[in-house]
Amino acid sequence: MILIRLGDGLAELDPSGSIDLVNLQNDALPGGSSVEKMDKNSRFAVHADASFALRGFLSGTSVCSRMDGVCQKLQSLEPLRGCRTVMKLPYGCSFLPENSQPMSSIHGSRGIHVTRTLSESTRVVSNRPLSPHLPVKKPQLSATFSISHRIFGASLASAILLIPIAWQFSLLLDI
Amino acid sequence: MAEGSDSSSMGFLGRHYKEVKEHWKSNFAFLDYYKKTFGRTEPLPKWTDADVEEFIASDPFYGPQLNAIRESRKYAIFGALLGAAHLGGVSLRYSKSPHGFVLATGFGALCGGVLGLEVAEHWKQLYKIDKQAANLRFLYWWEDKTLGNQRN
Repeated sequence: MILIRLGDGLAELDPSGSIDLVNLQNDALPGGSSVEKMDKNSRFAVHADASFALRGFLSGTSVCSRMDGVCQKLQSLEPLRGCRTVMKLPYGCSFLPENSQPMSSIHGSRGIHVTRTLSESTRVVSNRPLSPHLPVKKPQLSATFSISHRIFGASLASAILLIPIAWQFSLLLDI
Repeated sequence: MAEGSDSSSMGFLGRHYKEVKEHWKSNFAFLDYYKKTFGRTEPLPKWTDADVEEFIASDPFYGPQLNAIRESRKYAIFGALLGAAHLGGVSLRYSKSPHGFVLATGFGALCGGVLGLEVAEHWKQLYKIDKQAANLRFLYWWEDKTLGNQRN
């Protein structure tokens, strides 16, 4: 479980990519009521599209073997936050990794965009439904014209390139 | 102008139109080749390599031409293998994707085959001969042989 520190609160990053605020006791947090927590959640919610890169960044930087190196690198930029393992993300949210996930350690020491194996990505990414785009958009003359122009151009280009080659092959190889 | 075409059945415009049609018919004459293969009610019986060899031996003019054309097949296959191996090796060196390897090998085979045909064309001087005419002569010969047998 990866916990993200949003300002004063803590949030949990779950596999779907959205950040849900951890249901912690008030005394466990340095400050802020539950209402403030909701505002912070709505402000800092990570979009599902960004979750892939963010997850990659998080899992890439949460490897135990690299944590010291990254910690020292980041701490050279930022003043010490009182906790050795707290790291600062670009947009004002920092996180402290709970259990460094073992699956990220097989990718080695890579930066932000950790390449995931096919099994990992299909496990967490492929099950979410997408909102309809093509079925709901009303076909317009401009869009129809544009895509038909592209299709015709692609077929014309391939015909111009391939027909002389096919002609040469057929003449020389037919009989 | 209207009087000119009315006075004779083939006025100036009529003759000009006839000339234009003949000009374009000669331009597209290469399509007549396909009348011999696709334009039939029932297809010719399939010929084997032995039949082609027989024609090559029988015809003194078009036989060697057809032989040279058939030799260029080996150049194409050799070039395709070389190109496929080269481009497939390049793709394997820089990437591990299997579909990339397949695409690169296919494209390498295509380019290598075309290059092999070009080498054959210039080595055997195939640019001097009318390849379509040589193929057509064989088809005429084959047609006479098979349909002549059917008639007899």
